[in-house]
Amino acid sequence: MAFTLYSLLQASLLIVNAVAVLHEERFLRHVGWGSDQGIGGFGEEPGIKAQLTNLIRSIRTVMRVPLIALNSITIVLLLLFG
Amino acid sequence: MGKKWEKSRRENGKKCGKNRKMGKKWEKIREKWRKKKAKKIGKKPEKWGKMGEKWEKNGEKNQKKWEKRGNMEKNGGKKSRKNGGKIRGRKGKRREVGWAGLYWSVLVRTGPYWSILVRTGPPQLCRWLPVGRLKYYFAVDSVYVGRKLRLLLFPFRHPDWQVRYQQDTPVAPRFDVNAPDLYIPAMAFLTYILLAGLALGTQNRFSPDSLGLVASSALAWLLLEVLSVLLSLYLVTVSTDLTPIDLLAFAGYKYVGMIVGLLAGLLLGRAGYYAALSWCCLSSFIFTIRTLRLKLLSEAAAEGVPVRGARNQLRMYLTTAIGAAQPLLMYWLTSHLLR
Repeated sequence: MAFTLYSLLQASLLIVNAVAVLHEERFLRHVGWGSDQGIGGFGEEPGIKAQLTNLIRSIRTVMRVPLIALNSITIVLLLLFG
Repeated sequence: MGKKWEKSRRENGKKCGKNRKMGKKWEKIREKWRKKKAKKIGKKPEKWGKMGEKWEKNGEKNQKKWEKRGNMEKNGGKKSRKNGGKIRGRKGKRREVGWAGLYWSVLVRTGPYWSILVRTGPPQLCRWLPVGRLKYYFAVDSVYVGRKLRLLLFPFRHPDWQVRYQQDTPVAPRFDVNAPDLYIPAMAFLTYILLAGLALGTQNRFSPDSLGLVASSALAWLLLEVLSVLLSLYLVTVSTDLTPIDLLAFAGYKYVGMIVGLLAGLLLGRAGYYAALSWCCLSSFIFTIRTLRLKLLSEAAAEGVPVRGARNQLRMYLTTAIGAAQPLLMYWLTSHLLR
């Protein structure tokens, strides 16, 4: 049972990196998960797909710069300490 | 007071050189202050009067302090005498104050200022941690704890699961047995770690880092569960007043069942473990579903009336999934300890 906090941190960093790499134009539009596709009506609450699309877009917007810093720190630490 | 201490020490015939000298030194300082006070009090009566009193009080305090230290050393006096009057520990090693002592002395000396900080709250902490809300979760008493534990292990006959409100804020756990608290989960988590160490030890599988591994693994699972519940709540767009701390509390309640299962497994073997764990899994499942039903589902559905609609169905599935995750995690986190 080696599921430690450190592995949780590693996994989360990798997942956030993966989400940040999904390109809006080249990929998500073709799948149908673009940010301007199927927003739906105004009064109704959005479905799961719309929420997911919003989540992906907000992660990409928010985490772009911090991810650069986090990735650099992780790379340096892994190089130094293995 | 100084004379009395001197006499008792002389009676026992023990000598505590340095500290008795310190006492004498403070006596001299006090004499000097008294003379100074008597001299100055003619010139500027009010100011020197007050200063003189302050010096007197300090002098008394310091004299008492040094006398007391002399007395304390007297009790370990045999050893100090043998080692030439220096302070020695039990095994004759010189007691090193070191960094820990330095840290402790700084902490103690800044003690009065900590209370001011705690009262007003450091500004950065108030921004990131809702300290005021946190205090609400620890406002428990033993009656509440007893009732809540009984509820956790036998939730089948409890009639009313609604949290009582008091002008828009939920009532403190002390007054309502349905309110979530953080005391029980925290204590249960620590007890689980200790029991895990015990279980590993009885099977000769113990090592100090394995305990740390169990602790961090349990913490990681807890965090993962809370984060996934938060994510699923966001995706299903449930507008609820469940805070992340509430979810942490609900996730921590399963540790009570895990402790019972572990204890049964340690005392009664595999059969006892499975029996106790299945009972605790069932009760934790029912407890979670009944508590979350009121918070996640709409009013009508919570009453028990089946409401049509994809939204409510989705919420029902979500509640059931959260409830089902509890027994799974309970089994997963305890089975590897009782191999």
